[in-house]
Amino acid sequence: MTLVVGYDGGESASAALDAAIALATALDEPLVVVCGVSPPGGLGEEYDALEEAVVEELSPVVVAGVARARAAGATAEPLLVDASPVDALLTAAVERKARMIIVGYGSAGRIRAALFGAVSHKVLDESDIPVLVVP
Amino acid sequence: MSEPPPGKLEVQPSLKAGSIGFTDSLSIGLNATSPAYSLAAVLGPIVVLVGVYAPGVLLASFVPMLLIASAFYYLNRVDQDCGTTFSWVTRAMGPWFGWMGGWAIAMTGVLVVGSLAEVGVRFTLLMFGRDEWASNQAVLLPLTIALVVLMTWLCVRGTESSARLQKVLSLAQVGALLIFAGVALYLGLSGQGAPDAPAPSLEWLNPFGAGGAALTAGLLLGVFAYWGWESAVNLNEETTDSKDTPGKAAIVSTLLLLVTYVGTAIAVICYAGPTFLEDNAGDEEQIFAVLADQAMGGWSWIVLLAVATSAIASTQTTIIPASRTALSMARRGALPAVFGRISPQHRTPSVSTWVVAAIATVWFVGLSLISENALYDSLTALSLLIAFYYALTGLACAIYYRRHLLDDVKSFLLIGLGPVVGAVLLVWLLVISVIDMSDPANAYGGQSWFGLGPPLVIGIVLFGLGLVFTIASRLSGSRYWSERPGVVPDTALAEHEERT
Repeated sequence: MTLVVGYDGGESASAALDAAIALATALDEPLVVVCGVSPPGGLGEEYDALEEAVVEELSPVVVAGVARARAAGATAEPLLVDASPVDALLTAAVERKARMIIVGYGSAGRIRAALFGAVSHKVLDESDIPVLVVP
Repeated sequence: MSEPPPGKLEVQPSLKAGSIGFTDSLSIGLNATSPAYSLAAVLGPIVVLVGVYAPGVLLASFVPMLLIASAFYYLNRVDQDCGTTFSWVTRAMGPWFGWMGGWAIAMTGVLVVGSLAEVGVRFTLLMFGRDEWASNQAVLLPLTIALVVLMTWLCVRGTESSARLQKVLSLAQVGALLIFAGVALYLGLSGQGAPDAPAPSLEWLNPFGAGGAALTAGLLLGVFAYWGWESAVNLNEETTDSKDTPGKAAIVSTLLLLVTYVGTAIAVICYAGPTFLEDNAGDEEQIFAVLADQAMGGWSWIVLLAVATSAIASTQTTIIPASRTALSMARRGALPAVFGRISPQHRTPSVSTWVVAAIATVWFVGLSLISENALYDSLTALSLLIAFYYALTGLACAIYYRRHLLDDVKSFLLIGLGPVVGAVLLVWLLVISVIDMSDPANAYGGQSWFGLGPPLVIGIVLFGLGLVFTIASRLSGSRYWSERPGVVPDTALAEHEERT
C-alpha cells in the first residue's frame, strides 16, 4: 500500500506534498511523488519536442519534492507519467495499488474551476479510492 | 528503492495511451481543415473569380491534395516524427530543402491566425445581428486582436475543450454546411432563388471553364480550402493503430470535405445566380454570410455559428503547433534559447506561444491597414507557401522511397507516381500564379505593389526572409546542418510489415 501525491512545484502542490509527507510518516506508508508530463493541446506537430522539454523542466522539481519527503523521514520515490496531471494521478494510484491520493486544491476558485476544470475536482470525480484535497 | 537519477527522470506510459481511434482522428482532421471557416473565407472570392465554374475549381484543387495525402500517408509509415514535412524533407532531400519547407509551414501557421480570428469575430457579430459592426474596421480590428490575445492566453494556460466537444463541433460544422447547401439548392431548383439563377449543369464541374489568370487564382484558393487535413496524419504515437489509422482518417476527411465544398458551391450558384455574385464582387468576404441570411432566413444563425466556432476553435489549434515548432527549433539551437522556455505548471511553451501571437497580430494589423483586400491577399500569399511545402513533401516521398518504387504496382502508383504528379501540379500552379500575379493587369481589385500583385510581393518577402534565416542558421553551424539525405531504412519498413 502506498500514498500517491501530485506535485509540480506549484504553491498548492507544495501544501499537498507537506500534508502527504506528514501522513506518510505517521502511517509509515511509502510515498509516490507523481507528476503528469503530457502537454495540453492534443497531439500533433512537435508534440514530442514539447514533452521532452516538459520532462527536463519538471524532473528536477519532482526530484526536489522527493528529497524533501526523505529529509522528513518518509520513504519516497518520484514518478513521471506520460499523461495529463489528472490521468497521471489515477494511473499511479492503480499501478501502485495506492490507498489514497493527495492533491492540492489548486489556485482554482469556483469560477476558474468551472472554466478550466481543476485537477482536484476531476480526480475526485474519477478516483475509486479516497482523495485528500489540500487547500 | 533506487536513488532518483540526476537530470531527466524516466517517464511511465499512461494507462489511457492508445485511446485515439479512427473517429477521433477523423474529427481532428476535420477540425484542422476547419471546413466552415475555409468555405466562408474562400467561396466568395472563388465565385467572384470563376463564376459558375467554382464547383469545378474546388474539384480540381482536390486532385493534387489527394495525391499529396498519399505522400503524407506513406512518409508517416516510416518516419513517425511529429515534425512531419520538416523532418521528412530533410531526410530525403537534405537540410537546405528541409529548412525552407519547415519555414513555409511555420509561416503559414503564424500568418493565418489573424485571418481566422477576424472571421471568427465577424461571424459572431453577424450571428448577433450586428451587421453594421461586422463591416466596420474600427470595430473588427480591436476585437480581432482581443480574440487573438484571449486564445493565446488559453493556449498558454493549457486550457482545452474536451475531445467529445471537439468531435461534436466538427461534425456539427459539416452538418450545418450541408443543411445550408440543401436549403439553397432546394430554393434555387424550385425557382425561389435569384431570377437569373441558372439550373445546375455538368459544365459547372469543368475547372477549365473560366480559364486564364482567374482559373489559377481560384485553384490556389482551392488549395487553401483543403489545407490542414494532414494534421490527422500528424497524430502519431498514440493512435490505436498508429501507422494506419491517421492516414485512413486523413483520406476519409478529405472525401468528406470534397462533398461539402463542391455541394455548397453548386448550391450557392444555383441559388444566387451570377448577377448577384458579380454585384457583390467588392465585398467577397461578405458573400457567404449574406447568402446564409437570405437562404436560411431566421435560421441563418446555424450557419453563422458553425463558421464562428470553426474559425475561433481553429485560432487556438493553429497557435499550438506554431508555438511548438518555435520551441523545437530553439531546442535544436536554431532559435534563441528563450523560445524554448516552458511554463512548468501549465506544460506549455509560454514564450514561443506569445511570440507567435505577437507576430500574427502585427502581420494582420499591418496587412489590414495597407491592403484593400487584406483577406484575399493574405490567403493567396499563404496558398503560395502551402503549395510550395506540399510539393516538397510529394517529391520527398518519391525520393525517400526511391529504392522501393518498383516493388509492386501499388507502391509505384501511390508512393511514386501519385505524389510526384501532385507535386508537379502544385509547382505548375505556383509558377503560373507567379507569372499571372507579376502582371499588374491581373491584380485583384486593381491594386498593385511595385507593379506586382500584393500576394506575390508578400510571398517573395516571406521567401526572402526564409532564405535569410536559413543562411543565418547554416552559418551558425548547428548540428542540424550535418544531416545528410538518405533513403527509407529497411528496418522501418520491416517494422511496419510486422504491425500489419
